[in-house]
Amino acid sequence: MSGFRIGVDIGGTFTDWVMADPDGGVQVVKTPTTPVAFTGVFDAMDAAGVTGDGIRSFAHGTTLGTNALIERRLPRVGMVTTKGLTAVLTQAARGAKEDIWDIYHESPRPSIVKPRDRIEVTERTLSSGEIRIRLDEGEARRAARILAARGINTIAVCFLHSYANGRNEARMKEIILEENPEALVRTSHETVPRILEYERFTTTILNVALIPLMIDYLHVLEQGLRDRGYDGDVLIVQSAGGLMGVEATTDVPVRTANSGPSAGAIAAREFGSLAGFRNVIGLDIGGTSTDVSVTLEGDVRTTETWEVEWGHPIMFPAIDIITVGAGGGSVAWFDPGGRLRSGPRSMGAVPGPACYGKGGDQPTSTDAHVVLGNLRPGAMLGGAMEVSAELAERVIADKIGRRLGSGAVTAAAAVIAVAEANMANAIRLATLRRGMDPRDFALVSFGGAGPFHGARVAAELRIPTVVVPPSPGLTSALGCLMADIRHDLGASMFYGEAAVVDIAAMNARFDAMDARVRAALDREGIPPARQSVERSIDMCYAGQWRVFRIPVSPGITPASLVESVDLFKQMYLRRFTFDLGPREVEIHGVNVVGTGITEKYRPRPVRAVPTVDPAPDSRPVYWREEGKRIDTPVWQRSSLPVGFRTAGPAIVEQMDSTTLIPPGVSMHVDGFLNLILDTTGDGGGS
Amino acid sequence: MNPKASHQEVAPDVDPVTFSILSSAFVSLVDEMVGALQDACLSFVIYVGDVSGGLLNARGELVAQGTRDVAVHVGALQPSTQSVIEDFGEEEAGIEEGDVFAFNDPYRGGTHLPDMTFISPIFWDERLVAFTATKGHWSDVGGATPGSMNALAADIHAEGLVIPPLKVVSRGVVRHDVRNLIMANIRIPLNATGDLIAHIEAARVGERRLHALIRKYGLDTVLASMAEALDHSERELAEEIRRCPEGTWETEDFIDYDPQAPEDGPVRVSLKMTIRHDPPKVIYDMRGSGPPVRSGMNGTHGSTFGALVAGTKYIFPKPSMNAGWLRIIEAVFPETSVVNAIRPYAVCGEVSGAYEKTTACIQRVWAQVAPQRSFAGNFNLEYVVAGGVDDRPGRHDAYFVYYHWHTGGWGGMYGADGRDCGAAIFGLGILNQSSEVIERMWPVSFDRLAPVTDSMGAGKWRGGAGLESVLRVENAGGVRLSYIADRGEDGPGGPRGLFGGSDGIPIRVVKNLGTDREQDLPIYFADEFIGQHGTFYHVSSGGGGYGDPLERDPEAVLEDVLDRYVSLEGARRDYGVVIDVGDDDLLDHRIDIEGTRVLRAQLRAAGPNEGEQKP
Repeated sequence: MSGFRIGVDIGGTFTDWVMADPDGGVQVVKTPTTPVAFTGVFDAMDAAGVTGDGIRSFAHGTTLGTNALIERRLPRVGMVTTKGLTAVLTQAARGAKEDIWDIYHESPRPSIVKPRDRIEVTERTLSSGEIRIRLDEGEARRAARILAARGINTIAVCFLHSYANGRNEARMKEIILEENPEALVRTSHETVPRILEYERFTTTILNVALIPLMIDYLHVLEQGLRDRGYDGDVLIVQSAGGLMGVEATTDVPVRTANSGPSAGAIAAREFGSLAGFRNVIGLDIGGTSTDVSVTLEGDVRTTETWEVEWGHPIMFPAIDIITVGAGGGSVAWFDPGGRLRSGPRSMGAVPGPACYGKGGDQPTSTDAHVVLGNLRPGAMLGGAMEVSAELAERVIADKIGRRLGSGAVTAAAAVIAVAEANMANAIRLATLRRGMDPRDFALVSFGGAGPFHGARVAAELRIPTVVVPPSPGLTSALGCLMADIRHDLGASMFYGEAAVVDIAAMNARFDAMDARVRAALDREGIPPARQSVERSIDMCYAGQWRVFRIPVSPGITPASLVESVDLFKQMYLRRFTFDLGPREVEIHGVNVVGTGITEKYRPRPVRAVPTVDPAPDSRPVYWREEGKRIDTPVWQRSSLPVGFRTAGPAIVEQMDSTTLIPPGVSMHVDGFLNLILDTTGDGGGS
Repeated sequence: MNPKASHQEVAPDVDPVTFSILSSAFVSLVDEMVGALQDACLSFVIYVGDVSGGLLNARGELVAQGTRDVAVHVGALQPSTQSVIEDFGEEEAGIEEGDVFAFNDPYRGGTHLPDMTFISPIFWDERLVAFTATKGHWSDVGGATPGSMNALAADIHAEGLVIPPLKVVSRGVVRHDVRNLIMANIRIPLNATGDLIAHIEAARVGERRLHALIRKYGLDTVLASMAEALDHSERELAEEIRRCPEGTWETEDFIDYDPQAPEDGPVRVSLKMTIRHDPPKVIYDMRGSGPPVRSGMNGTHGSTFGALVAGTKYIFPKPSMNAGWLRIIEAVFPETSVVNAIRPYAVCGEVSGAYEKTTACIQRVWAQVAPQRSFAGNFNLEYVVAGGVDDRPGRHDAYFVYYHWHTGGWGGMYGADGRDCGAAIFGLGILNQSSEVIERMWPVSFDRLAPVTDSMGAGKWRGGAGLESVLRVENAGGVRLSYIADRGEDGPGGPRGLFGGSDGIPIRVVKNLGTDREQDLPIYFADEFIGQHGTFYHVSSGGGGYGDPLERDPEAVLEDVLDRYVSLEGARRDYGVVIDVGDDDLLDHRIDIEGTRVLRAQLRAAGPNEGEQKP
């Protein structure tokens, strides 16, 4: 066996492992996520008899960063900052509220750097880049010694206006390293040289905090792969949807903080596109959460500043994903007002839902699915797990039914309805709140639990079509194999007016960034022919705040800059339908995106071959659309040929997922073996 | 409730899915309008969030507000729009497709003059079906002082240009004479012109969005959903009110003084609340409030009603606010008073003055009814407005107006400390302004921006920390500063504690602190000259504490000491917590458990802290 491309997606509950062979065939392994991240993966590799020399590439989507940030399993971080200006971090989230009216809604949690560990030093840089006060070296050394005495070895250096001139920050870093060679130090200007101190400082702090974790994590992964004979690159999916090598990832691990969901978003775009859709909503439901992404006209929507935790912005591009705590392991509970709620607390893989029989004693969505007959009890994941109907029924009846005064079945239906309302709301936030109508989209429903809910959530929002990819539970892992390598660099650079820019300085800055991303691509083994670097300038009208990113070619000249300004004005006119006439255009920043084109996995069309007519099993399933149990045909997915058609109520089972086709929804199998569900028939909704 | 019965109230029937889609589409329409305004505006103040918008029905009733709107504007869009209808509704060619009306009259539904509102009708098949409104705080609207925030104005005319409903765009065409009249009365006409264009553009966005919804769902369905949105909110709030006990509760608060007549002492704002179940009503009676003052601390009917509405919304955050919600609230105002000023009393500082006191009263009166939903006093809203000539190279000696609000401490609440250095609590979506952006934009810099030790009220859940700042004038000429706040050192005190929690510190403002030109400033001043490199020192209040400080977990007090929110002395004095001090670099301080037990017993024996006791 050789030439495999391997994608691994480690989620909160399951670890998914896919192996694509050169002919487009795919082998899959799904194991519970283990506390030691890769044990399950390596065991699976060994069990499958795959050795490293058979692997051509290895790409990985990880939730390490996400989980570490949410759970704050981070080293103690110290900060050295400009004297007198310690309120920058105290003014958490720049003072804003997540829910503007609800004072009891949780405030943003304070910065991970406690006020006591923010050490002040005398220095001052101005917005022009002029250094008004040079770093006081005596104070700097004292600050370094205080942090060392407290045993703090992870340090962010964050000075005001360092994006305009990083000299004081750089000197501070040198001094810390002289005093404490063990320290891990990052300055804010080297992390992200952009204006806005709260955002830049926060990004710098979160990044430096993740570095030690990421180094340890990738070391284990790399070592395990080397031990098995693999000597190629290990690529990590970053939040913006591209891949990065180990070196780049350990330098800016904060860029991977949304890695897992991003791989899913890429896969949603690709599978949606295979089924013929350029507007796609990705609905990725795992054990812990639901992640919603939006692809508009073939492009996954991205954002420039985002956050894992509200109030803690990360100043790097990322795929715009709405996450809510609604997954298979989400716990159903009653709020103080007596309303039934679901999530965000999840039982994860350990102990897991009650029906797993591993000590879980809380009612979860998965338990409700078992009670309703949606999920077949007995052996699961090829015998890796045993699902008990008895345990599911008991926990739903005891914890939910008793309170509602109903039997287990009615209670289970209510649990699922509440969870699906949360999922639908996430889609509303991602589309309606951003001016898009969900009915103009197809829903790609994946993740182990996605196909349970896709049809009903789509019907609720009147999304006409649902696409269920061939291996829903492994779709994110496949997404790892569908991305290119990508490096973004950017900097705030201010020029009062485009007309008086120091063009030579700008070109020099561009060339330096260009060389940096090409060097990174070289190190990742991307030959020059497969490298591309795009440059852009951020422009805005003087006195305004909204920048447009204008693509530029290498070697800017006065004439080309005039063209860029004209392009900016055209874009502005298109967006705002008016122009500001002779107002000056300012330059606010420069950006470089380097792409390394990878060989991607592409599913191949399956030729329709005449097969034996598939025959369904059946079992009683409760359909809330009908308010009763109905003897429902249960199809094995592997038996369904291209062109196969049926209508709900029906269930399609496969190793990693179960697709529910409610009454009123029809289904067919397309040429890539996607299930295509049509929700426009009558009776799909209430 | 029988769901069929409620459906019959709406004709034609709107199915629940369509209603849920349309009701969130109305909100996103407003968010998009506000987003377009913030995208395109030139006033930095609007960009960072002093802005709001609304969708209203053809009668001028509020259907939807945005999700990041400013509380002060809440409740004002409806009377503002109704003023347009009043003036133009009956006129020949009065309200026509493509019109945009400007408005800021505080006595007819506006707030203070810089809050410029732009109201636009939306037609479908030549029928008036809705209005949209956007409201943003312009950097300047004329008057005696740069930035139009003149606390010492004796009447409205010293505060700036008053604009009654005024057609600036007629059938899609800007009326240049009208625009020019506005711009001729404003200090930075170029910025204001950009803001005007942005407001007009926002109106177009709202119109396009509503037209798209009508095309997709049909006019009848859209109008029915607009009506259902009001009924739905009314039902939701009614349900909440029915869960509260019936009865009457009272409280009061004070504006520090009338800057034109400080010798008259604090000015009373009084609130009596009555809750009734059948029909569900919350009645706010403010008739015990004092007379209007001869300075800009007054509130108008519109802004005080907005304070009552916003304050109530804080207690019941879930039901969405619109005209249906407003049906539950009833307000009784004295004829002419500090909370209901009439022309020509000045109002520019209303948000710091009468508005803020009214919301503080709401928190306090609701604390008696719903102690686990209310919270202790917050830092008072402040305005710092500086204007002058920017002498930095390349700035062409341009006139500038710099407008800033500070952060401060929020009140402690049941189960949690108040937020440290938060943005104005009733500012809602407002962001703290970035120092890096301020220093780039204007010829000023910050010597200091730091949380203040012991600034907050102590409590089982303490108030949030206040902020200390030193603003320095850089390369600029003729800089004049205006300032409006309240709860200063010369007034009755800082933000009040609740249920045995103590008060936050009052605000302090000083010019040229630490130099031989040092000068204490009053809590309201206008046109104070600050020379090049002169400084303005300021401490905002911490929030009030909630509950008995002696019940605070000593570990939490130690954490606060380590983080310098509370001093060692403050820990002993306010919390009865004794701390053994270790190495100052290592911060290995420890709680003296026995010393703390003894001290707390002594303090308990000495009697409880003052403050409102739990009912």
